[in-house]
Amino acid sequence: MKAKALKPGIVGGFFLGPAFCYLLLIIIYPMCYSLWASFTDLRLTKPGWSFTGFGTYASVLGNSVFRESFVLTIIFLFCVVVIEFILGFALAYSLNRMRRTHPVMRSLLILPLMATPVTVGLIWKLMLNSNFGIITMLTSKLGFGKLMWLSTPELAMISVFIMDCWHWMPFMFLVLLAGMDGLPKEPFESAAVDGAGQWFTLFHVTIPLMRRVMAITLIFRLMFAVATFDSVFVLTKGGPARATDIIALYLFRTAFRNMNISFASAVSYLLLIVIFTMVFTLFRRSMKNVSQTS
Amino acid sequence: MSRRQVKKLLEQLHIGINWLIVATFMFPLVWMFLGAFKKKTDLLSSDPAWFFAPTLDHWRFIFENWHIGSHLLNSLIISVGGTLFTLALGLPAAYGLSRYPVWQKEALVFDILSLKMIPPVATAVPLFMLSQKVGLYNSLTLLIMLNTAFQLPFVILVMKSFLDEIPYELDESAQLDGYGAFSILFRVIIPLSLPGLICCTIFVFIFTWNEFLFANVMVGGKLRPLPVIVGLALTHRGILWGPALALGVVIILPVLILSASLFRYMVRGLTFGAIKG
Amino acid sequence: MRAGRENQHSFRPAHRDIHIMAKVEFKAVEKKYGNVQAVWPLDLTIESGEFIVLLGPSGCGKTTLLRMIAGLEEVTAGDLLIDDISVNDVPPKDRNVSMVFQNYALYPHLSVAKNLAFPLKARRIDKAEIERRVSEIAEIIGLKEFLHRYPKQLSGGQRQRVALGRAMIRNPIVFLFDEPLSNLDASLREEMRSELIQLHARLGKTTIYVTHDQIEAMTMAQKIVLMKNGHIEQVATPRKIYERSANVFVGGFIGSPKMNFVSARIEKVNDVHVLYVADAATPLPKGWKLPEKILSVILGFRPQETRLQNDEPSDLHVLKIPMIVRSLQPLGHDVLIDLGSKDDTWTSVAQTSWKKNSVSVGSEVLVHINFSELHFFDAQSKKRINF
Repeated sequence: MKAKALKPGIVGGFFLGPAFCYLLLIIIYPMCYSLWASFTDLRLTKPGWSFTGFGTYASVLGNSVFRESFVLTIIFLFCVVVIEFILGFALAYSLNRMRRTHPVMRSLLILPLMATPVTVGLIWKLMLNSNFGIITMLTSKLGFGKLMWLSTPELAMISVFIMDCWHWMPFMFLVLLAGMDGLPKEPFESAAVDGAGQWFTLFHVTIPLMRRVMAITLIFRLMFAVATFDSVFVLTKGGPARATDIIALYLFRTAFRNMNISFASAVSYLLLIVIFTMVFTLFRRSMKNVSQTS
Repeated sequence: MSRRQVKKLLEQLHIGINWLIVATFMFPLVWMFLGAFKKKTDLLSSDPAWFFAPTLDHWRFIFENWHIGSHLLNSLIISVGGTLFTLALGLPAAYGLSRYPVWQKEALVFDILSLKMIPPVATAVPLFMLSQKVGLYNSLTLLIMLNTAFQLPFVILVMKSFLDEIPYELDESAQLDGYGAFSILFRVIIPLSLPGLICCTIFVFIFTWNEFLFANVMVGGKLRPLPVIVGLALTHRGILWGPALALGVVIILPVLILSASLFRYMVRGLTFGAIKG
Repeated sequence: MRAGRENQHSFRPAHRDIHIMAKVEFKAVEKKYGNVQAVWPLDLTIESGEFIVLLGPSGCGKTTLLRMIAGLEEVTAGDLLIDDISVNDVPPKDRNVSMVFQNYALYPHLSVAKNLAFPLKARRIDKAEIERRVSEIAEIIGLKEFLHRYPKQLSGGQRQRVALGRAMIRNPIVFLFDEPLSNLDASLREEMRSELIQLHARLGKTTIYVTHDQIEAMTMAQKIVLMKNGHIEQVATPRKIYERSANVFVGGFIGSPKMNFVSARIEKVNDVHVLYVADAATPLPKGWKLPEKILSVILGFRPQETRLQNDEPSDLHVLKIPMIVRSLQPLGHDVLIDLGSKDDTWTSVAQTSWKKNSVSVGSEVLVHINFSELHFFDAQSKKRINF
């Protein structure tokens, strides 16, 4: 008689095992270390450490630079996600309504999204340069005078917005378009027979059917947006005067310039708490919405 | 004009506007390409140089002075190595999750998704210290390993969504015929999930090629991959725009070619398989 | 071959020996998914070489039983025996059974030849032998010219045959079929039915066939196992299950158009047992063993057994029920007549030859059924009563 078969659950475990252990080692373990460090006053600039309980967290929350960066990041997230969503949706809708979509159009639009973020920073740094940037020339021709995009705090933030929109709007566009293309025809035909106009159909048929896709798109974009680093680092390095110092940049500086490990760890965890809370409330709310409309 | 003619005109207008938007988005890329061939005076002039005499000076410069050739090789090694390693770990994991009643499956999938939410910046410091302790600091191996770790959740989730579409009857039929789990993975599952494999390969390769943070922090000198050099070029006291742009083109060209040509495999991967492309 | 099997029972007999078949037994087998009972403890014996059909509505447990034999589902309790050996813990690949799936389960990336060869490759049979068997099977299923095609280039019926070929090529001891014809159109189904019957006659292997289509069951089975909600309702030959249905469910499931059911009462009046049904009171035949007390029954009669006359000469062996014709459904040679009782409390269907019975809507008729064609079921337990 042949040997007893291994329980399927265990077999599956063997396949999943290596990847799981690897992730445990390379991501979970450092995160645990970080958690520990956040309860100490560890710095690489001085030897020895001691427990501080929540003291480090308190000093983080009390730090004005941190608070500024945090607020800046929230504003950044909100503006960027909303603008990209609206533009992406509009463009997706526009292409969805065309009878024959040129496949080239879509494959070209993925390029900004996949472009190396440091190169994205490079391109916009060139275009927004006060002396020879083409955008500066354009705006001066339009009567705005010589705008110092990257050296004026407010303009620098706007530059970051514009760059990020260029970089990520295609993400919204492509995912929303894929979602729209996958919608069933019947509700639309039924609405047409009932005499619904374009705007009515958009608000009462398209959008309700797109609820799930829109929720997923927003949640994923938010997840990526919090980690924005490379492009802004190259464009402004957080300047001028920390006007574009979004949280990832701030964290990097705290960890690697100031070598304040415990502080950086506390910031990391605060950041994680915010991210997780954000994603889960959105997720929970969107699931409720979806089940109500379907 | 008749109604039909008006409709047709509007349609053409619609298409035209769409193309205009596409062109606007392509402009920055085109501008950079042009800039890589402009003479220094053209680049820095206060009037946009639409027409210019091209030059290959910057290209020669980056290969000779900045030794881009060896950095290019670094990037290639890290990207290819990272892609292979990630697939080697991720494919079996996706197979296990898709086909077997693993203990606490939903919780695990959820955990994997949560890992993706952690910004790499947050792990940079402990990994920095850990890598020095293990002696892997400043090595290409380290970068391959780190990139693999951060791309793994993506690969597992996307491949799982592709694998879920293969009917389980095929597995059962093979089981009855006497095939074990491994054989089924290689003979049945992998051939049938080729689009998913291509999707994952492209994404992992591109993301690893683009990676900047760890590359910047964990390695130095000769081992630096390309994105780090851009960072260096731009933080110089006097930025050499010409070479910087040429470098940008070198970095971005493989990515653009891959993305544009294999586009149809990529839509699915954008949302980790949550939405069918 | 069979005598030598005692302790060293191997489930991999020599593949050249074609006439290998096994007996399958369920002993108090049950299947639970968590707290949900899919199959209640049951006993079933399938003799070697039998063509047995597991029949029933969706969710009755027939597919679960099939998959337990294959080893694709675990047996929660009880013993599953193949050739008198418990196989509860034997993995599918060691049971030497073959299965034809409802959706054929062909490998899209392999040609027909490779699909057929696939089961043999796992068993490390040498290349020449594989080729020989593949062409042999291809001949039997009639797809010799299609060996290099791919599944997506084949029609439904051809894919079905490849699935069949793949099941045959390993020379298993049991054939399992999971609703294999449900994806084919009607004429193709008829064709495949007769081919499967011929195949069984030729190969003689134990065949267990799952379907919800009673026509497939009636035409193909040597024995039918009718199931409902995880219980076996009746195990019998097609003829017996039709003529002596074990309960109301079986009577109603088998036979098309469906059996008519009506409530009735048997009472002893002055030493004579009388049947009260739908306004009619008829004395029952003297030879019958009838109870003393009042008996509530459900009467069943098949549409094909009815005759519509205005009256026959009085015959103690015929039940006559007055009804009104509601509508007619012509079937070519026959006609289905929808009838309603005079007080509109129940309906029934009669099927008679069009030529012999020309009735019109609204006309009153007397439905004649021979007592020998009546099925009596206990009103409470719904089980068959034999008098």
